[in-house]
Amino acid sequence: MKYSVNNYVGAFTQAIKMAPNEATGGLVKLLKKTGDIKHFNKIVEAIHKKLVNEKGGKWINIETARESALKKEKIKHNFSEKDYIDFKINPELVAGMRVTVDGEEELDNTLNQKLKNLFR
Amino acid sequence: MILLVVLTKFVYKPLMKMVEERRKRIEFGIKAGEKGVKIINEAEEEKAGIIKKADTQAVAIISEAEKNAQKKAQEIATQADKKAQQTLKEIMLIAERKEKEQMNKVEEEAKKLVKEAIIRTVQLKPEQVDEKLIEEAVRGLRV
Repeated sequence: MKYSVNNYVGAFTQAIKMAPNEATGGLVKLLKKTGDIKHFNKIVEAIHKKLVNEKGGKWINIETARESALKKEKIKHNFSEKDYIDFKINPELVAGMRVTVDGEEELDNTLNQKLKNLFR
Repeated sequence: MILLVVLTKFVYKPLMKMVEERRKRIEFGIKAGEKGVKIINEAEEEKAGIIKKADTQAVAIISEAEKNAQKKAQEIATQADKKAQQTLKEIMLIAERKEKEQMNKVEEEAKKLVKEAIIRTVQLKPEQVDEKLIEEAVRGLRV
């Protein structure tokens, strides 16, 4: 990457305050120019996190082993409306759920972790 | 009388002179022989003394050499014993370490097998376990 993700996030959050209508187009142009457009998803996610945090919310990652196990509504009730909840499927967990808040692991109640603890 | 004088002068005196010289020569020979025997005897005695002294020295040297050899042999035996004990100790340590490694390997293998067996069992019907663990996690979030 020519510039770090944080640089793009900082530039975009400044731009959106100064010219909200042109910020997104400007970011895409800049990413094309620097060749960092291939990291678009990563940069957008970082911007999204920053915006959620600025509004006083938390970025919540919920990982489960399979789709059928997700009880999204039931889980959402445990968080604020300002929070953003990102649901992900991770078969390596085998069963259970792992919760990460703002990039820090908050709770790991997966079978994978329990087995790790058991056979340490 | 003349004959007696002549005989005395020309026969008896030279003859006596010859006899006297011969007697002296024989006496000298005997004395020289006796002296020679004495020298030989002294030499024999000296030789015997030297041999005796040499014998005593040789016995002392051999005795010292034997003592040294025994001491050296004892030292070599002690060193060999120490080395053997050290080698045995090292062999035992290696064997112990290998046994421990083997045990650890078996333990790891057993853990892996049990873990895999649990995962496979859960994967046959995961819903129940999944639901229970997620419920627990949600309760944990509320706390």
